[in-house]
Amino acid sequence: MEKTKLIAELKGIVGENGVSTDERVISDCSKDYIGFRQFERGAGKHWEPKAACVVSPQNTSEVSAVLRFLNSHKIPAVPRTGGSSVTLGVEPQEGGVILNGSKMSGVAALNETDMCVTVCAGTPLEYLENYLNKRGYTTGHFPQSLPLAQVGGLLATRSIGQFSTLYGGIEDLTVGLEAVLPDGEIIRIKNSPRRSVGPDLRQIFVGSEGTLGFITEATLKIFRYAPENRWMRAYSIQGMKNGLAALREMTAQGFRPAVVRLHDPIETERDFGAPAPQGYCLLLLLAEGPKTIAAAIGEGVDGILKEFGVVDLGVKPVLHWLEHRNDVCADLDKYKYYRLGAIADTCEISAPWSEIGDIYEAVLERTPREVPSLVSIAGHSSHSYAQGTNIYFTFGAAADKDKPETARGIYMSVIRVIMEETLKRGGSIAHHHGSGKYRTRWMPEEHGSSYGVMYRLKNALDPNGIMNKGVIFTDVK
Amino acid sequence: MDDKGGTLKKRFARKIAVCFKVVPDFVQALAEDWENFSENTDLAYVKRVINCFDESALEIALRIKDGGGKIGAPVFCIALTAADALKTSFSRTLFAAGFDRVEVLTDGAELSGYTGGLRTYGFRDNAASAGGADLQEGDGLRTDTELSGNCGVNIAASGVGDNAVSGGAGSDFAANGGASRFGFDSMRTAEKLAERLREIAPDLILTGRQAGCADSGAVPFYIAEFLGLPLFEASTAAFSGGVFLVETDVGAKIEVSAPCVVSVGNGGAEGLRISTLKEVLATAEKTPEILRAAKYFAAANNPKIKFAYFKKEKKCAVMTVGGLTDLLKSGDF
Repeated sequence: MEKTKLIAELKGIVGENGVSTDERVISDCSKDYIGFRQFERGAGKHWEPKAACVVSPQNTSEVSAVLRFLNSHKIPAVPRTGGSSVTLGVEPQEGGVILNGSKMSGVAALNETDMCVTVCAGTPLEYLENYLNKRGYTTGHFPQSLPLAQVGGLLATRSIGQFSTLYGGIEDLTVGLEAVLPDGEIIRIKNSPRRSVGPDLRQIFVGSEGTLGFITEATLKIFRYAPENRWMRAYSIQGMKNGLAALREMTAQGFRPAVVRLHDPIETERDFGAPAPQGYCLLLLLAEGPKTIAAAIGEGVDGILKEFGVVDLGVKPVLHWLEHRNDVCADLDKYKYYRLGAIADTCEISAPWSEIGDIYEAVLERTPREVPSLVSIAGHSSHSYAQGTNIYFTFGAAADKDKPETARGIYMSVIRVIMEETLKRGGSIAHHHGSGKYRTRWMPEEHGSSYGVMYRLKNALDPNGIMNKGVIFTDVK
Repeated sequence: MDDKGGTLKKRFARKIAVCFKVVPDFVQALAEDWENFSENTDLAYVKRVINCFDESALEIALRIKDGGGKIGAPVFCIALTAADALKTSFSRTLFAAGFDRVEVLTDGAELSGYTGGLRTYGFRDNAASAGGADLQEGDGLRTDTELSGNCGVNIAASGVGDNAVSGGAGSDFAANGGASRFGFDSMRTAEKLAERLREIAPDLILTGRQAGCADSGAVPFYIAEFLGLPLFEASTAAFSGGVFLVETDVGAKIEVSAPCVVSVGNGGAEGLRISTLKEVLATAEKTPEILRAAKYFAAANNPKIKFAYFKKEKKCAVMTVGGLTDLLKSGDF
């Protein structure tokens, strides 16, 4: 469809103010924070595809009408809300439409009896958390993107928060939701504490990254907010594998501190001033909930950890982490790494306890050999389960500021090692950032024989393949 | 070309010493620690960084070295700090970046990459005593001297003389760690650095303009005074067209002759160049020179200082079309 006609048609649906063709708005809504894009933008290069416009519906009906129109004309659409993606997940298709849910914002209902809150897709998580805190509740969901993220995107990417060992990921927190299918049909999955009526349809949309529909509203669990009850402690523990073994024992015994973070010796020195002997990891723990439970968890894990030879570092490292855990969000558009001539980013994977330590070691061994310009590679575990944990790799590599076109290749050479070592050992290549477009090429190996089911879902719900092309699916059959 | 090269070789600084300091990243310190700052305040949880002005000085030295290399005039670069210890990561960073020697002036205390357990980074005497100005409205504090830097933390000094507040490039042991170290005595810090610099006899001494806890900027001046050398304050410095030039904050370029002391800000070089992991790993055999001689140290007479911290409150509100007015009216944000 010719662009002028496309814009006119969309304005007919959402009104004049609901469609923007301003290049700055389009550029801003196309912005992805993956490391090499930040480097490119630092060099003044905006190499993401250019959408025809940004459409900002104000309610579910408008979303429905917009998608019905786009689907009937097979025009590609990319859903977005907060725009904190680091996976190329919100970059549009050339000439396509950005479907911006940020104007659908606010708390629709707080149900204190049923302990849940219903919010619109564009509600900022930080606003929601503050709103709940004032009323004595919390979402229990604190991703690092908290200052930027909005609820729709959190569900779509299968987000997880820093307190996940107690509260779980967003998939555990979602009670019900409303979504619009690519053909414009509005569906609602009702709120229920649990159901046994067939597959859990919520999970089709949670983590779909906008490929199967547009989430317009969600009902989330809430919890009593009592930070005064917290038990906090930092420890140092020798060696990453030893630290991982301690985490495994802790979770195997059934202890669920809300925060369980094991930073390797490199991060410990780089980010925390090394309040631990050289070569030691830093372990940060926080338990919350009723005071008696938090205290009991603290006592229990302290006993377990002493068996692993930890050194008690007191509370301050935890308090410091709490204070600064989301600082990165304020620096995203400052290009500080570009100015240093570096690309920096993170990459999170997960694996069973039996494999995670080997994956960590293999990545740290291979990347310096295979990426000549690597500046640093390190990692931490920040989300633990009885069956395994994640490793959040943090890395930096030197790049030529005068050759920003080389940044992507350098970046992906690090990612390739992490993906390969993870897949080789049966791990999962994305713990909570999602596939985006940059991990799609590894999806066949990630899903194996189940990958075909994903395509059947895609073809059933989005037969025209208009929704977020290039994400999760290598192509659409 | 040959003539020019010959001139450059003749006039080129052959030995450059850069005074630097590793400091806690104070912006990361907990508010409660600023509010209750004392010699026993534990800042061990705060990451350490090379003072930003000193980073500029270090980088400028390496650029001069690069320039010398291009014309066949080798330059020997020494990084010098006064501290109770220097973490291996910092010394390896400096070696990987191109420094030929790293020296640590210490008082003879046991040195290692880390001594274990929580450490106290504090001040020897009277660190938390009252003095200076009170908390004002706005970010950070207003104090006797408006201080630069991005940390939002300012420091007041009482009993002010020129040497009351230390800082400036080189060293101030309080920030580097260890209880029995120099505090904020710029003069004595500079005196001891100067003693070592006299032995090194560099053609050029580069320092960051100010550093660490107190940012007085006095150390470079004292070093120059003790060594009897001219001092130039510059935003940056470089060899250009066969002469050594310093550029001032207002853009004036001054040709200077070695030996001299140049105190630089952080406008000319954003920071120390990054090194690849391979380059860092290649420095495994290189270790800093530890100069334990007690002569470099003596009891310090610390001034009384007061620290404070002021945190800006942040608010988050949902901006809905047509709803902003209602939201503001409700006050529920």
